[in-house]
Amino acid sequence: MTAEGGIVKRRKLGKAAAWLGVILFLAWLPSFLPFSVEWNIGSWLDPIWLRLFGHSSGIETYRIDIGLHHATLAALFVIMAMGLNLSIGFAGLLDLGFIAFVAIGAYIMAIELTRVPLNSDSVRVFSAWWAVIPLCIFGAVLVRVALGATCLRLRGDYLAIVTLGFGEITRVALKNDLFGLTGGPDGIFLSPRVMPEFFSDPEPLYYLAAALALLSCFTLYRWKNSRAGRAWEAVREDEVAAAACGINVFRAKIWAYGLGGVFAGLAGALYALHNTTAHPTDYDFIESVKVVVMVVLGGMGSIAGVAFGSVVFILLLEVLRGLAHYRMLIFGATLVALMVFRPQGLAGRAGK
Amino acid sequence: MAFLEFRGVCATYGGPDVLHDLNFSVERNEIVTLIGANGAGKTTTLLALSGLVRKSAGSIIFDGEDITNLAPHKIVQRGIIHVPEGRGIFPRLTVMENLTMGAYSVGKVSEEKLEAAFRLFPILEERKAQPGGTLSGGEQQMLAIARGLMPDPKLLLLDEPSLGVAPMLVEKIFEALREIHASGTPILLVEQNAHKALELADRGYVIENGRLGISGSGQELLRDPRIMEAYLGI
Ligand SMILES: Nc1ncnc2c1ncn2[C@@H]1O[C@H](COP(=O)(O)OP(=O)(O)O)[C@@H](O)[C@H]1O
Ligand SMILES: [Mg+2]
Repeated sequence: MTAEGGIVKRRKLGKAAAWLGVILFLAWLPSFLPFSVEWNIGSWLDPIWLRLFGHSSGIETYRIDIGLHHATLAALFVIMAMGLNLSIGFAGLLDLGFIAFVAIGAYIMAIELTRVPLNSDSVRVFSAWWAVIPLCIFGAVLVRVALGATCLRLRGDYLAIVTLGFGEITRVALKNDLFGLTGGPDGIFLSPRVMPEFFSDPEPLYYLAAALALLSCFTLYRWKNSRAGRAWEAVREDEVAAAACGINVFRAKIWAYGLGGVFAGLAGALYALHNTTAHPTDYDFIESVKVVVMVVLGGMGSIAGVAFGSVVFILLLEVLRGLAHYRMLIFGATLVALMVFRPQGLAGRAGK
Repeated sequence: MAFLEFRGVCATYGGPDVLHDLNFSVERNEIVTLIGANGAGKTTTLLALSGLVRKSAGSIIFDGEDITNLAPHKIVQRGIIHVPEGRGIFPRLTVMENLTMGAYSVGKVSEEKLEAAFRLFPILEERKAQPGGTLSGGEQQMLAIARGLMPDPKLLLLDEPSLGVAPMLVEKIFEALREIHASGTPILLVEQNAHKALELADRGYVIENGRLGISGSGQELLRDPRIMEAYLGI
């Protein structure tokens, strides 16, 4: 008993130390960025057919540039991935339109910031930008619950199809100036005049995003080990068996799906501030796929794994940027290799 | 009034009715079995009872209460616990986690229930930390039954506990059912293995194409020439 207790204690200490390490790392990260390297690679990257005809693509150096905004971006994607992890990883609800809910958060933030009169003397209703964030979260959750209520009673793949469609509809609606508010194909630009002063330097946004990313992970960790977390796990594994255990399957699903909106709305609000715009092309289908890949890459349901997976994904995209059009090729190959050799993701629980 | 009563129950998966005008009952402290061929409607009957399939007519009365249109989790709260067909366990959760999940409706898993389950199926205690999916078919069935015992059921529904289980383990499982019954839990058992089921049961009903046919005590049915021919292969 005591030996077991000792091991548990040591494990807990180890975990605490790991988290402390992560926090310290995040705190010092800005002083290491931007990070930039450059190699001379000659014509190594030129495709064979160009070389056959004696041509050259002209790319002779390979650069890797990682700036603070990439760290911020990674943190924002960690928040998104946690939201999707809640749906896919915890409750097994495949959502292929997650970015639409991020877009809802981003557009609410952008609309609020640009609509409020900027008179230095007048105190605004939403005088503080941060007071808009709950509104972004509320909007995303509301739409998500409404959508979930219509299709979560259906079985299996319907949700994937409905969310896929919803994601596209949302993007097209935003592009077509929904309610005359979303600015059409140009989106909504957040000029320095309307951007909160707090974000005139990039550091505050980074620290905010990093802190909220950590908070998201922590929240998910708490939920995973709660009664609701167990219910989600049961529903994901086997719906009939979950019902036989007395779990209200529909309610469990609605909660998992709806709460994912909290993270989407939050990440969206910050994403608009990060991009200083809310633009329809930022909420393309491929963005939803990215978040799905992060969750799958990290290991569905695993919190540390998905957080790590998201950061690796964003950094990898930057590291491979120098490969230009080969980037996606290598990326795809990496993913396929991963799925072959480690189908449960970097840190997921092995299947049966 | 009977403990559980089906009164003219019809059930549907959304298309035409699969069950037609089912009337039967289970008394407190009885083991009742429904036997029938593959596709006869045995599973559907249990799903209808636990609220997982829609009833298009009739009513189900349990312990004096009409539970026909209650949601599945409400029915579990009333004490009707369904042990689903086949591998109705959570394959990626450990044996212990599976058992804990069984106690979901009552909050925490009770030490006493856990010990009783391990006494019934000692193999589960040995495999406590192993994922459910790594157990043999028979062991998974034992786990499913043990999980069903966690919330202290008032009525236990079992869907073909002998399906895909090695003969030696079938013996053990039926022995366990006898013990569960002896400790005061009524059982509604659905089986294709008519011989074993009728040996164990106080009463039995035959279900055919979604309708109830012959019924009687277990012993009577075992000796009934129609049953012998159709279900016992004698
Ligand atoms: N999910 C379903 N949807 C539609 N029909 C079903 C479904 N499951 C079973 N059925 C039909 O209901 C009838 C009874 O099936 P079932 O209750 O599973 O039989 P049993 O358990 O006795 O083998 C069968 O004709 C079967 O085709
Ligand atoms: Mg069946």
